[in-house]
Amino acid sequence: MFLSNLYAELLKLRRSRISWILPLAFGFGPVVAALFMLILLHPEAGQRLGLIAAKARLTAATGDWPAYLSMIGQMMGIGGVVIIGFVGTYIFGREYTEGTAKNLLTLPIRRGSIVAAKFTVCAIWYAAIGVWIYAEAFLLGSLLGMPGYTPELARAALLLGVKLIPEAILLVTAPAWIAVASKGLLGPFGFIVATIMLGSALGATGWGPWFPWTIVPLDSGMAGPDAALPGLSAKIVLVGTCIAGWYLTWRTFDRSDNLQ
Amino acid sequence: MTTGLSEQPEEALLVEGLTRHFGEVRAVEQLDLSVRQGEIYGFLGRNGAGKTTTIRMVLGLIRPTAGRIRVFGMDVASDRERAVRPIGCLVETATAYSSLTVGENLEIQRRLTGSPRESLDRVIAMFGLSEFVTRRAGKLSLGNKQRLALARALISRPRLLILDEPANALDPAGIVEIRTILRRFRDEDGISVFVSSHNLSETAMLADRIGIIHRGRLVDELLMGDEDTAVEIGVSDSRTATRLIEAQLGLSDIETTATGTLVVRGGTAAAIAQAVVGGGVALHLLRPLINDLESRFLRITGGE
Repeated sequence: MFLSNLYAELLKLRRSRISWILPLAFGFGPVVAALFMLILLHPEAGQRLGLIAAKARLTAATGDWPAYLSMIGQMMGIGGVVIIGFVGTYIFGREYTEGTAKNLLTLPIRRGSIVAAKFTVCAIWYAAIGVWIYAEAFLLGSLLGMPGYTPELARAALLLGVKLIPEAILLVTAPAWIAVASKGLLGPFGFIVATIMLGSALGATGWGPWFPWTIVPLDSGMAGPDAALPGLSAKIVLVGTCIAGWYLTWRTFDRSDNLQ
Repeated sequence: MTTGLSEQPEEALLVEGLTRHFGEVRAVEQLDLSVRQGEIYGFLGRNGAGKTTTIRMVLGLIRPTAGRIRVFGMDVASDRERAVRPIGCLVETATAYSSLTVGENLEIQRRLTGSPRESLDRVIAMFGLSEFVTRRAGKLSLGNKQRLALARALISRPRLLILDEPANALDPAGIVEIRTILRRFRDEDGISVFVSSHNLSETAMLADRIGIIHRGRLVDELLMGDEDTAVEIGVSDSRTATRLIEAQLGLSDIETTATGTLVVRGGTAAAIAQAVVGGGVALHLLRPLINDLESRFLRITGGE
C-alpha cells in the first residue's frame, strides 16, 4: 500500500505547477551568485551596476571558484531550510486547500502510510532540487571561466551538498505538522517566517547550534571559515526535531477532527 | 443485530448512542439508526441538523464523544481501515485534485482501494466521463465534478455507499441519472445506500426508508412503501369512516382536511379502502400522499 501511496503522491507532484516553479525560483540563487562573480571578475563593468556591485564586493572579496562555491554552499544552507519548509507545506497543506483531505482520510489505508509516502516525496523532491542547484551552479561557473578550480574543491563542495541536503530534509516534518494542524497553507508559511526571524536572533546570540533552523545554515559555513561547525548535539537536535515532527504529523492526521 | 464478527450481520450500518459535542454545541445526541443490507436509507434534516457530522463519524473523519458505529459488524473506532473498506463515499462538496486529469484522479483511487483495472472503465462508462478522461479535474463543470466524485466512490464496488447531498450541483437530468444508477446498484448488486439530503421530494423518490434528524437526534423514521405513508380518502360519511378505520385498523392519526377529505397515516391504501367500503361507506377518492412527508417533516422539526 505504501507504493500505491507513493505513486499517488508522485503523480500529484508531477502534475502540479509548483513542481517546476519552486526549483526555478530557487535556481535564481546560482544565477545571482554567478552575477556577483562576473562583477568581481570585471570590476570596470561592475561599477556601472552601483548597489549590486557593492553587494557583490561585500559578499565575496574575489571572483574565483572557492568564493563562488562557498556562496552556493551557504545558499543551500540558508535557502534550503526555507525551501524545504515550502516543500512540506505544499505536500501536506494542498490536501486542505483543495478539499481533498477528506477523500484521502476516508480511504481504507493506514494514515501512517500516507504520511510516510508524503515525507518520502518531500525528500525526493528536495534532493532533486538540490541536485539541480549544484548542476546549475557548476554549469554557470564553467561558463564564467573563473580561476581557482580544482577537483578537490569541487569534491568538497559536493560533499557539503551531500551533508546539507539530508540535514534540511530532516526539517520538513515540522512545517508539515503545522500544515496538518492548521489545515492549510497560511499556518506553516507563518511558521517559516518565524523560524527565519528566530534563527537570525538566536544565531547572533550564540544559541544557533541548539536551534534546528540555524544548524543547517551554520553547517554551510555561514559563520565564516574560522568558525567551528555545529557538533554532534546539533545533529541530535535535527534528528529529534524530525522525529517529533513526524510523530505529531501522523498523530494529528490520524486523530484530529477533519471538519473540512 | 449481531454480536460476533464471524456472523453475517443483518445491518450494513449500525449506529448506537452516537453523540458528538463541540464544546457546548450538541451536534449529534444519542443517535440510533441502522441501514439494512440492500436498502436505500434517506437521512433527512435541515441544515445544521447533524447529518454531515454523523456521516463524518461513520467514516472516521471525526471521533464521537460517545456511542458505537459498526459497518457490516466491524467497529469503526477499533479497526477503521477494515470497517471502511466496504464503503464508498462522497462527503459534502465534490473535490478532486484539480491539476490531475479525470483519468488520473480515478486511477489514484483505484490503486489506493486495490480495485482491478477494469473498474476504471466501468465507472467512466457508468457516469459518461469518457470524453473528459484527459481533462484536468479543475476544468470540469460542477455537475461533472460531482459525477467524478460519484465515480470515485463506486470504483471499489462498495457494499455500502454513503452519500452526503449527492444531488448538489446536478441538473434535473443528472439527478434522475444518479437516482437510476443508485437503484440499479441496489437491485443488481444488493448494495446498501445511506444518503443524506435536505431535499424531501428527491429523498422520497429514492429511499426505501427515511430517518429524520433534528437537532442531532433521530426524531422519526418512516418506510416509503405503503406502510407508514399517508393516504387521502374522500368518503360519503367522514365520521363513520373514521370510526371504522380506528376500530378495524387501530389507526388514530386521522386528519380532516379543509376540503372535507381524510388523511390517514400508518396504514396501507388497500386496507383503508377495505375497512371503509366494507363498513358501507362510499369511497370516491383514494390517493397515497407522497407530499405528506413535507408536512410531517415540518411538523417534526417545528417549521423553524
